[in-house]
Order: sequence, then C-alpha cells, then structure tokens
Amino acid sequence: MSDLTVAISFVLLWLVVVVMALVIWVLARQIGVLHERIAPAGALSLRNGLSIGDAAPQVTVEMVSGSQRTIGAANPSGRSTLLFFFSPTCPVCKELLPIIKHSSQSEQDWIDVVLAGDGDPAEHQKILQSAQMQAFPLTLSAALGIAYHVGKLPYAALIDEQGLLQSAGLVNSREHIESLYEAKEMGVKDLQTYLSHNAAERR
Amino acid sequence: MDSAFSLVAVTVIGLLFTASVLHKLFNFSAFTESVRGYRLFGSGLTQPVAGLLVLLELMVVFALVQADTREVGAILAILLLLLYAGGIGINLLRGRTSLHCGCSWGNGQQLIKPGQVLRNISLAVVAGIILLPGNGRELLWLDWVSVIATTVIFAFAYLAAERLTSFSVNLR
Repeated sequence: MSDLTVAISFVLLWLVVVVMALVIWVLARQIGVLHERIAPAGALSLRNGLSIGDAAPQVTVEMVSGSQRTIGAANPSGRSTLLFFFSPTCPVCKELLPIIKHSSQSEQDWIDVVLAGDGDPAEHQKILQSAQMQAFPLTLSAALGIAYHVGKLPYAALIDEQGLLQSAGLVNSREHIESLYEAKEMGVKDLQTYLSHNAAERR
Repeated sequence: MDSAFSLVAVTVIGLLFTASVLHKLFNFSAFTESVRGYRLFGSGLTQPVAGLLVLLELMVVFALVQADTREVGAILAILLLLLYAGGIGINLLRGRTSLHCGCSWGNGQQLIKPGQVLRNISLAVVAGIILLPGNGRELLWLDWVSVIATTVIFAFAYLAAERLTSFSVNLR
C-alpha cells in the first residue's frame, strides 16, 4: 500500500469519527427536545408518599405578614390553592416566579397562590420584591415542606376547594405549572399516570 | 510526550476555557448568582470573586495561545479546575444538591453532582499533559488532521454528555 493510500484512509477514518460524534450530539439534543415537548399532564410526581386525590396534609402556618393560615383546609369560598415552594438560592425558582405571578392573574377566578419557603425572611422578600410579588402571601415553614414531602425545588401542589390534593410535583417550566391546572381539569394525577394511561390505550 | 498529544491538550483546554469565559461574560449576572450560591465567600466578595474568576479564565486562554506562556496557562487552568471541583465537592458534602453549578453553557439548569467533581479532575489531568516535557517532534500535516479532529470530537462529546446529564437531573 502506498503512503498516499495510507494517508487518505487515515483522513477518511478521522472524518467518519467526527461525523459519528456529530450524530451523537444531534441525537442527544433531539432527546432533549422530546423531553421538553413531553405531554402536559400533571407535574412530575416524585413518588413521595403523598396521595393525589386524598385530603392534603393540613398544616397551620404563620404567614410572614403575621396572620395564621391553615394550608390544606377546605375552602368554603370554593377556591383552590396553588402552593409554590421556592428558595432564594434556586435560579429556576427565580425564573418561575414571574410565571406564577402571571398564572395567578390568568386563573384568578378559581386559584389563590400561596408561596412557601424556609429560611431567612429578608432573602425571600428580596427575591419577591425583584419579581414585584410582595403582595403574595408568603410563609416560611420547614414543617410545611416536610408535610408535603418537598424533596426538590421548585415544587408546587394544587389543593382544591375541598382540601383534596389535586396534583403535586417538581415544576421546572411554565408548561409544568400549567399542567397542574390541566391535571385538575382532566382528572389526571400526574405525568406518569397520563403516560401509562396513553400507553395502555395504544395497546 | 509527543508534540501532537500536547497540542491536543492545548486545543481542548483552550477551547473549553474560551467557551466558558464567553458564557460567563455574556451571563455575568447569572454567573455572579451562581458564585453567591456556593456560599464560599462573604456576600460582599461575590462580585469581585466572580470578576476575578472570569479574568483568570481569560488569562488561561491567552497564556495557552503563546508557546512560551503555555505552561503558566496550564498551571492556572489546573488550579481553576481543581478550585471548581473543590467548590462543588464542599457543597455536595454540605448536602446542598439543589445548587445551580454555573458551569455549563449548554443548559442553564444544571445542578451540582459528584460527576462534575470527577469531570473537573479529569480535565485537570488533560491540562497536566501540557506540562509534560515534549519530544520536540515536527508535526506533519497528518498530525494536524488528528489534532483538529480530536478537538472537534471532544467538543461534540462534551456537549452531548452535558445535554444527557441535564435530563437525568430533571427526571429524578
């Protein structure tokens, strides 16, 4: 084999490997796109012991404003409660706060938003101030987080007017938050239930 | 060490730091927030430390370009990579796994994981190749093909790995 043939095959081999690396990267991106477009039905449930459809844990907490409020109790006025757990150290939470604000306005005829955190009140209020959400009820209670099995932030739970837990889970985007409402309207517990139900229908 | 291997290490580390410094400069406020999140310095020091890190990364890039400052660049790169590995390690030990790492330019929501400590140490080892004495071999055109191809493959593999690890966090 001449030197030229060896050189050409060497270059061709490199080209093949580069193309394969490109293909792997494009496939990885495609998987990401599929994840982002995943069916909007209920936030990702963390299999955490909370039972959707059952009575939500009732926890009486002190609001930062000084008043007391029982989270998870039935609401005689017929309104549901969206409980949003966040932390000032979580950048995704900061991105979601304006979305929570917007959705509380668009769903204001049936939802009350309650923000929940744990730790320094000043830090929490600073974040809310920057999102212009000082008017939202805020409570800082570790007990509430434990009662709702909050493992990862940002986490949201939707409690209906009878005090039943409609959906709960990790929320990372606008779609996840809106899926909480959709889950209530469609009567789907969480993302996994929706997907397994669809898979069963296809079979 | 063969000149071709050394050059691959220079291009890989150089490319990594170029991308990193551009990402940090274009999202400086987000980077400052990430530095604050690590809670390794007083909050008054966050901004200067973030600025200093960007400056040091920029120095790595420029030092690697010049042959006579390449070793300084490599040492600085190793120190920075180990510093980041240490910062992530300390926060993992503190149990703060919901912390944004501030270390990726592909996905803005990467949380810190033990794998990132390993990744940074591996990259520091790659940067260490630059410090090994070279054999001074003249590079042929075929060597240049290998160097460029290896660097491109590294870039794709790195982006793909970053993309794939970001879902495992979202789905856990």
